[in-house]
Parts: sequence; structure tokens; C-alpha cells
Amino acid sequence: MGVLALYLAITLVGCLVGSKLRNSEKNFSWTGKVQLVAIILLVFIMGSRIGADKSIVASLSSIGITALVITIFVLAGSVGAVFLARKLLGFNKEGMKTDD
Amino acid sequence: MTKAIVISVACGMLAGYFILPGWFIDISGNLLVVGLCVLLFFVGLDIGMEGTVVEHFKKSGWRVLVFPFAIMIGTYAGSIAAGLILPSLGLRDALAVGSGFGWYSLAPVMLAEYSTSVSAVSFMHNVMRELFGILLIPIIAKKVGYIETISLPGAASMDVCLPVVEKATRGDVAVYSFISGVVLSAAVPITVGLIAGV
Repeated sequence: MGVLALYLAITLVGCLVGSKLRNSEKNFSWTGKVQLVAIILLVFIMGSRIGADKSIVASLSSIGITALVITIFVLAGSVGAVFLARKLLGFNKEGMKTDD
Repeated sequence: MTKAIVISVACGMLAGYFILPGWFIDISGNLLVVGLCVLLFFVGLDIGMEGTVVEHFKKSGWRVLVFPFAIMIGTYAGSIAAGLILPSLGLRDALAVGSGFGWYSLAPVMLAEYSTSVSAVSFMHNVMRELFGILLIPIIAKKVGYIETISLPGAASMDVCLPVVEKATRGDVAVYSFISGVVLSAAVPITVGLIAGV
């Protein structure tokens, strides 16, 4: 719980700093590179934990099938839920409002 | 981007299997927390500097918020159904995996300490969600409806999949896509964190 609060607080601080910097003349294109490096390192470390666990390496194919099954159900559920929401709000197939 | 991430996960797995010493794996949990803090700060910075999120919301009205919440409900319904038919995966694990909403560089990292195997499932599921999303968007747009397309990639509907949605539908559906992606992305650290008890 404490770590989650830390994550949310840091994101919020980033937002506030970002909105203060919005009108500054400086170029902040390097922030994208920092993000990319952070992501690459994070997923590398995550991968190393998976690779270091021999029982997980042995069951990678069943993990892939599990992920595939979840993905199929999740995609079907999401499309179905948005379909119902769209009908309830009175949008047509092309996303236009029809009842006014 | 997706390619770079999949490659570095694969390199990490090989390094973890063959080279890296046990102490590295032991401290890796702390490294992940530090890395996530750095990443989330810069994600926040981007949102703050962009500054257009609030204007987008104002322009589209409250209705636009219905769709990301519908996507969450649909995702959880699908996760529960999958959890029930997959004996190897508990209901909580299935919900933790679904909670990534397609954000494959964040959700599995957050789940790494909760359970390494759930983290592995989460990574694969979230990558698949984005890839299948890209492939299915044009088909769903034609056969089911325009707004339904934004549900496929989940969080990625605000960046990687935004041009795909726009091409398959219309400019104003892209606004829906963007806002839905923003709401789902904001939800990921909270939903994953709460379900995994981070």
C-alpha cells in the first residue's frame, strides 16, 4: 500500500512540474529518452527474474497459452461492454448520436 | 518500441537464466521500485507538459468517460471468465493480469514481486492485447462499430494505436480513443497496485 501511494505521489509531482515547465523555452525532448532507458532497464530486470526462476522457464508454453486465453476473453468482454454502453447512450454504429 | 521491449525482456530472461548471480535477483525488487519511480515521474511530466487532457475532456462532455469504465468492466468480466476456466490461475491472479489494460511496460513490472509467474502471464497478455488490438481494429470498425475499436488496445489507444483507430474510423472517434487511453493508463497503477497489494 505504501509503495502504491509513493507511485501515485511521484506521478502527481511529475504532472505539477510538467505544467510549470509548459511555457518554458527549453527543449525537453530528452525526457522521452530517459523514459525509454527506464523502460528497457525495468523490463530487462523483470525478464531476468523470470529467467532465473527455473520452474517458470519450464512452463513458458503453458504461460503463453494462459495469456492467450485471457486475452481472447478480455477482448471479447471489452468489445461487448462498449457495445452495450454505446447502445445505452444512443450512438449509432459509426459513433454518431442518433436520438436527437 | 514494442520490438525493443520484447527484445530486452528476452535478453533479461537469458541473462537471468545463464549469467546473473543470485544476489542480483535478490536486489532486483528494490531496483524495480526505483526504476518505476523514475518512469512514473517522467510519465507525469509528459502529461503535465502536454496540458491538453483537461481541454479534451471539456470538449467531449461526460459521455466520453462512460467508455473507459465500460472497458474496465468488460476487461474484468473477461478476466473472471478466463480465471474460472483456467485451473492454473486463481481469480485474483486473473484480475491482476487483466488490470494491466494493455500497458505491458508497467503492469508486469509492478506484478514482479507479487508473483513472477503472474508477471510473466501479465507481460504476454498485455503485449498480445496491443498486437491483436492493432490487427482487429479495422475488422471491429467494419463489423461491430467505431467506438468499440478503442476497447481493444486498452491503454495503448492513446498512443501506439491512436493512428490505427483514426484511420479505421473518424477524427472525433480518435478523441474518444485518446481520452479512454488516458483514463485506463491512470487506472493501471491503482488497479494493479490494489489487486496485488503493492
